[in-house]
Amino acid sequence: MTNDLPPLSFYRRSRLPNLTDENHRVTSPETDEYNCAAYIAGDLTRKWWPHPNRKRYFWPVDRRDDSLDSFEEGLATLGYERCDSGEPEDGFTKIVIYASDDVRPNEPLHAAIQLPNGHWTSKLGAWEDIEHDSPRDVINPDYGEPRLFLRKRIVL
Amino acid sequence: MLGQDSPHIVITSILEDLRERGGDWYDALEEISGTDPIPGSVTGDIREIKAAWLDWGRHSGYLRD
Repeated sequence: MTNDLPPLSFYRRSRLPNLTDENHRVTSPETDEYNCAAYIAGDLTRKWWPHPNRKRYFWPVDRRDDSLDSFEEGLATLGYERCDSGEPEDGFTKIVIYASDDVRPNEPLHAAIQLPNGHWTSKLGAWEDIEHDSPRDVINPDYGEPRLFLRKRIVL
Repeated sequence: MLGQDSPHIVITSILEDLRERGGDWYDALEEISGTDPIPGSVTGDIREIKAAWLDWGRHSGYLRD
């Protein structure tokens, strides 16, 4: 996968050991103006997170306890509901939330969203956005592994 | 060893880096300065958050224009 954007730096690739030249491509320049949670919500103007600091982070519901449950409750306002897997389903778009037993099992650490082509896309913290083949491609110690899948019916 | 002027130097250094390169310095700035200049109307817009800190830095004498 290639385009005109430069590839992830050597250091960033080293932090994402499941990425290969073939399973991902960079889709935006780096920016700290939004984060992974804002990205999956389609809002590239601010940072989203269920963090208690309401000035630093937007979150659509009052629950801000930095938990997978608060993610599920917040993203429900956008029409997402819990589902079993990230396998493509006709008529639905999906989100995956990552967590790690090494950090705190119920603490969200990363989020990615499924594209219409069945691939996934992630905003890598303050780094670039990437398209990647599967949710497992961005597993790392900082993000943990896929822990919660949500889906939303596509309205045409 | 850090002297009594160290917080001033550190805040200036962080604000200069924030101005030049951006970055998530806000927890550090809040901790070191003991203040939070972000208006209550802001909800996650990093450009407004950055502008609030840089304005505060200029008005508080940490940054020169």
